[in-house]
Amino acid sequence: MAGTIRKEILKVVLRETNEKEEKKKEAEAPSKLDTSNSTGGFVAVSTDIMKYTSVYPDKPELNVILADEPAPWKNLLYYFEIYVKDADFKGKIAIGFTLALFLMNIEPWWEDLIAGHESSHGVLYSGDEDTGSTFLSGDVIGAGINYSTNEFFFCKNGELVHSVPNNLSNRGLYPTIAVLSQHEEMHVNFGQKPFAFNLKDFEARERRKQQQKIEEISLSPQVTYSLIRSYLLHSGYEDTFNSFDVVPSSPITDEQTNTLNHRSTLRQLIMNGNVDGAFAKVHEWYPQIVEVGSQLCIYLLHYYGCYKFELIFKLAYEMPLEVLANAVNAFVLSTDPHMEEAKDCLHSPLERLLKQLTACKRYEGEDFLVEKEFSKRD
Amino acid sequence: MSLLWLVIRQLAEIEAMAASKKLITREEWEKKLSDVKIRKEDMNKLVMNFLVTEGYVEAAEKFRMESGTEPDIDLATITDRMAVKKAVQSGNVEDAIEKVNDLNPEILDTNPQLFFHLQQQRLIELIRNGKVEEALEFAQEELAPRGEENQSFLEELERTVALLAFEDVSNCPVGELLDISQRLKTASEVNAAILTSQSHEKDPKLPSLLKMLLCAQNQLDEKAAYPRVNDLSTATLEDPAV
Repeated sequence: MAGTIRKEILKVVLRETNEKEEKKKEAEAPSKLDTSNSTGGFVAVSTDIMKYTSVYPDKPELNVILADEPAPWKNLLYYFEIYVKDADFKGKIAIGFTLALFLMNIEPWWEDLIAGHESSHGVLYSGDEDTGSTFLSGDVIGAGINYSTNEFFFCKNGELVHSVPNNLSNRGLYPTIAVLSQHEEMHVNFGQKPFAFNLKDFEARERRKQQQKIEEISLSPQVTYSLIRSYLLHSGYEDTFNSFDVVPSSPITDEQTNTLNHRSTLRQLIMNGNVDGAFAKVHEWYPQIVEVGSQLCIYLLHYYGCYKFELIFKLAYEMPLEVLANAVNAFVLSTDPHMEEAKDCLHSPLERLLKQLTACKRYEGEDFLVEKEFSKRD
Repeated sequence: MSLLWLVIRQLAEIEAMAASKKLITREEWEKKLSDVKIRKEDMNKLVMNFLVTEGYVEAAEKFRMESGTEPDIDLATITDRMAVKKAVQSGNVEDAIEKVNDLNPEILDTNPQLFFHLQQQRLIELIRNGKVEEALEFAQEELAPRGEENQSFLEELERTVALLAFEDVSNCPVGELLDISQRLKTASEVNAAILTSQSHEKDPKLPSLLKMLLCAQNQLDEKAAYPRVNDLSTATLEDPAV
């Protein structure tokens, strides 16, 4: 059983080494309205100026244009604005986000969408006719996605005026402008220029709300206590463990106690630079992992990316002592029958939680590092 | 035309649903986890921060020796802080006030709310020990003047004095003031104030990182089905429900 775990430890480490995950190229952020991604009638005067002229001057018709890229979703917020340079007297203009397929079949959804209600295609907002707050020439109107609250929000002349829940995907939503008029001229701003809406303040407020949400979560002090306890036990910090563990929260098996003492001794020997002494002790105490010399070095290859066999033994004497101490610790832990999986030997529960936190944050596009948390003050 | 319209509509809805929640397999997620390297040094800092903030002075000293992690505060001050905390927890409020002033007289001078809460705790202890006359005198001389300056202090004082109106405290609507939890609450407030005066955070970092994890997982749940950790103590990954 323990031998299998040791092989598994090696496999995990080597897999970590060899499999550098392909970093998929993130889609670019929207930079302009795309006339090829529209229902027609739109002409780009420049990258940020768009004119629309109806092909049927007698009756206004509905036309829609999407941005060149969908909104990036790995942020807290996404936002864009348009300045209505010239709005048709009887026209109507709406702004928002839609899925690309929406273009293929507009009419049935128009009424739904412009009311600022969400449909299965997206959401567009044309102002509030009840209050007379529609969009006219000279207005700056904006649309955004708040990924932390899962909402679309809309602004007029720098003020937040409307929001609606986002039950759609966070991906593939294109900034969209729709017009029901004979002619329009609009200037689009995807962030190349300062926005009329104070996005920085809004983002700061949202982050504070997020922080408050975190603080409101209740957590038993026992959880933190047991994580510290298991970390000290896992790492072999014997004296600290004995001093901290005044009221044991769970019984420790004989094997764990034995290995704790051994692992503590081995860690101290290695940290004091006595690698030979540590290896001698490993051979004496754990003959079943007598292959530790070679296996340990293979285990540590991912720190150096070196695969030449003749360098393997040399490695143990050249690597950082902390790294070697952690590796020896993991191997000795593998002799404990209670350690059911390789990852239990490699990583303490505390480390696994920090990995999970970092992975979740990175998946959301946040550049999260545990060490950065130390520079923050409460 | 209407049939085509129906097909397009269904296609759009399928696309929306498919895009809305991505399934991340255990293998994919473990690959992401293996890309994350957590430095031993950072974990040790978290542990030291916890030991120091929570006042495990002996363990902090041992940890410094064993891991080589330096505390961000003089360990001697922890002993003093713990002595104050212990005094409040055992009901020796006068002793606690004296110890705080020995540590740093500015703490109570600049924190009227904390000083009021300590005095309130002192009043509670007098009531607990059945010293009714002494309690009334103390309330009048020490606490009433502060209540005149601050409406919320006055309300808290009234709640505390209400304890005297009941012979059987179990029927008293403010009986919780006599609970040990009230002492702990005051002790925690003093502990936080001392830490703040030493330019140290009043709470350890680890619990807030754990809360951050719970929040991050809840947020990610909206976008993807992925292996999540439900039991923080064991940190076991559980497969996504498909």
